[in-house]
Amino acid sequence: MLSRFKDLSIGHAIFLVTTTIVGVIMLLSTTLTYQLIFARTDELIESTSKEINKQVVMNYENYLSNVINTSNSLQKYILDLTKANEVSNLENLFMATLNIERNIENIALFDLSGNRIVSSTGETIADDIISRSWFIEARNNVDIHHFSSSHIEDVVVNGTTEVFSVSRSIYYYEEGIQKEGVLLIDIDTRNLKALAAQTNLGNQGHIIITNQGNELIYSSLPECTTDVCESARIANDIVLGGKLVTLDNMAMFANVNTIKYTRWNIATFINVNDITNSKTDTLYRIVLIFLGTLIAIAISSAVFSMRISKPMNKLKEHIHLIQEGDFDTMVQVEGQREVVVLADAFNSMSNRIKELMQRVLKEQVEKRKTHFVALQNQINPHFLYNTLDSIVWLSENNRNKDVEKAIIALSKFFRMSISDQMSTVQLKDEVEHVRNYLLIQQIRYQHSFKFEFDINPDVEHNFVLKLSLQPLVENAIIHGIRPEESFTKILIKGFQKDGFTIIEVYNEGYGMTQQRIDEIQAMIRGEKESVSMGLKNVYQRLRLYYGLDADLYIESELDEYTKVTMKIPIGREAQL
Amino acid sequence: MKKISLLLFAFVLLGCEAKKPEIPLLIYDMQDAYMFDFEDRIQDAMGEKIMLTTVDGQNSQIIQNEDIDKWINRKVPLLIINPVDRLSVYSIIEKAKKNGTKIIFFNREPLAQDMALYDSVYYVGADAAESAKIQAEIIMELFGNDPQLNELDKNGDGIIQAVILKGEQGHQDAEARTKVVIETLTDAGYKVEVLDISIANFDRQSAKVAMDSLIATHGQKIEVVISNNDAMALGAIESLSEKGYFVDANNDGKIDRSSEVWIPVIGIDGLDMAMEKINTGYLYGTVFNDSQNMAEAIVELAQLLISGEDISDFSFTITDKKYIWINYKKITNQ
Repeated sequence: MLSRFKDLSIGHAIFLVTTTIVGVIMLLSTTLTYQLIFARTDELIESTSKEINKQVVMNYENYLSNVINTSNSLQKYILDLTKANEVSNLENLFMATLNIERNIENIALFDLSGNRIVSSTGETIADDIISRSWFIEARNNVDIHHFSSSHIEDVVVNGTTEVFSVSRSIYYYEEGIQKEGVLLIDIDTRNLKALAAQTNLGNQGHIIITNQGNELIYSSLPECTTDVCESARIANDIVLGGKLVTLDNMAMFANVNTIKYTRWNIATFINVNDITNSKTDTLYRIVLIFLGTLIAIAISSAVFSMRISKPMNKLKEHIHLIQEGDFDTMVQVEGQREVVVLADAFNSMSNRIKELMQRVLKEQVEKRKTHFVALQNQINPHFLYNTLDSIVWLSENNRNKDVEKAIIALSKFFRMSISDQMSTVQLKDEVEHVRNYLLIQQIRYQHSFKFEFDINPDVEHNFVLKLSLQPLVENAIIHGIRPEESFTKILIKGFQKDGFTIIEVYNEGYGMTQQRIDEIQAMIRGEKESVSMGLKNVYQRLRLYYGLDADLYIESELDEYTKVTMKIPIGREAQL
Repeated sequence: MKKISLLLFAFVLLGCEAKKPEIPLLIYDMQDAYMFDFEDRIQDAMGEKIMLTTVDGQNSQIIQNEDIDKWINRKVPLLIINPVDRLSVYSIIEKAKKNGTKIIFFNREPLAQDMALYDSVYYVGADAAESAKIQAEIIMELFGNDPQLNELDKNGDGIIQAVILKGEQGHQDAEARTKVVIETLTDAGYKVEVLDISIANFDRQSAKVAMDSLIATHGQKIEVVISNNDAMALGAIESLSEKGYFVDANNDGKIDRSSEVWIPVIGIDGLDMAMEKINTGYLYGTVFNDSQNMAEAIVELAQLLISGEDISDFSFTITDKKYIWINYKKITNQ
């Protein structure tokens, strides 16, 4: 895994890491948010639905408590009035109650054989009252009110109104004797409907009232007419409490509760489809935001990583070019600041390398040239001829000692000239070389000049450019010997000053005017065409090798002296 | 791996040991003085063994239903319920049956047909009719245990002129007590004229108001005040004291029946305050609803049901495998 990761390019790695981290964090946070929203929505649905259900139940309870209260007060009056033998007043009371309580369809008091004692209607009463369920129930449980399921009014022979019956066993007096009977109150179901309509339960939201036997008392849903309809089945299944259900592909929150004193159950079905849908909408929205953000992050991380990796790749290719020796192409990059800085640094580095390489090349060329010049000078047949001629002359004069000296000097001189390729030599070696050269030249010029070395032992071991002194001395011999004077002196001084090795070649020649000095100086510095290769060559090598600190300059006084000074920084090898 | 699972197992065990079973005690209304006392007794009797959480139904079956649904969903093994509406409990029983939750009902008796719906449902209570019979016995004692009556038959007509303070209309206890007290007296040969039955919903304040109007209507005709419970009896005494039916002539805080003005008031329940009033002579007598004994029965039954032990170890008598009847006691100052 890790090794595979290492194989990735920097751009891919940045892209992969950023996108993965952001993706995982986003996934976690959106999942959490979504769950939180969902839990809260569910809570909200449940609590709201339950509140609505409570309200509905309370409405029904209030209404049905009224019915019970009416029944209770009727009982009290029945006792009082029958005891006082005022049955006609009781009938009036029933009628009055009917007028006050508009929903009451019929009030009747029956004896245990089902015969009417008093009723609010004068119509013919059915003769099988004791077989009615409300009658039987009232006798089964004498303590409580019995609430029947809805039915067409069946006390009168040709009833048409849909009613539910409230019945209970009560006491009444007949000729002073307390007897038990059954009180019946038939109530129009329209109030149940009106109450259902009072609460907004949403589209297709509805109410179902069932009794203990799960018989349907009332349904506000037109298509639910029997106790086997889907809503009734769900209510039956819940028994008590709330649950989220799906009805006709609609999310409904079903709540089942009891209605106090009635032994009825009421189920409210509240449409929560909108909220549930908004839940799905929220899900889509969250997923959309998640994907959008992820894509945005992916794109920006791709762009960002490209801004780093693209110039990097360009740089990499450029390095390949340099490996192949192409220093001329400059790398041009755009991207992050660091990378641009890196590229710039790289460019200047390759520039510097190119520069240094050219300098080394130039130095090599100059060195070759020097060698060439030196060799040319030294192997100059003229030089050799003159020298050999001088040796012949010495030999003829039997100056064998001098012959020997001259030949040794000549051989040493040549050996030094053609010796190894080192650029620098110790000053003492260079001085030895020049001494041999001077010895030879002395013989050639028949001792017309003297020479003297004044080399401070401090600088004997300092390094100087090989063959750099000889051209200076050669120059002194050519220009510094006055034929009319014997024993012109050439003085070579070596000492240390201000961190420089100073070598002075001093001759007692004719000297020069300042104008001439300037001219020569310009020639040496390559500002003018030169005839004398020697000094210029030395100067250029000095500058190449030691940099701007090294110098070669001429001082002179007319008819007195000429002094060429070479200035070499100590301990500073090539200023590369 | 083995060690970890052992450790986990130990934690689970510890967790189980530390956690006491939590059982809800659903009271129909904590505003009811009797239930308030009763709840206290049950909590005291329960002690530390089971964590009993009292839930107040606030006299609303809707609220109680919601709580019951909540507790059943929390998978408690047992519900102890004092129902708001005894007629609504069939839904509660059905729901509990479906979830295998056991139920102890107390104080308000569900219909027998509802009790028959489920095996693991019990009722602890006192028989309302029984209390009324004892209340009738107190009244007989009051009138000298003689159907011809004694000097307390103020008008000397040989008939007891009584007013009845009735609990909630339709309430099983109210209905039964009202009916049975008169029946018992009549059956024993006493003639009773019920001047009025006032419904005061078992409530002291309502009873005081009701009594005010009863006094206004019937005044000196009233020979005895029969109340379905002590709270209403106390309300009646308050009204009667104000109207001069109790006169503490020597201001000793007590009514001396041989020398001071008084009227017999009889309650049911045996509330602490009622006991006090019996001692001071204001309340003639009460029928002590042995709530202490009832609380102990509930607690013992609850513990048996939770631990799943054999019900036959139960120290109270179980009638019809479901009913635990607690006897009443007669309390007077005689």
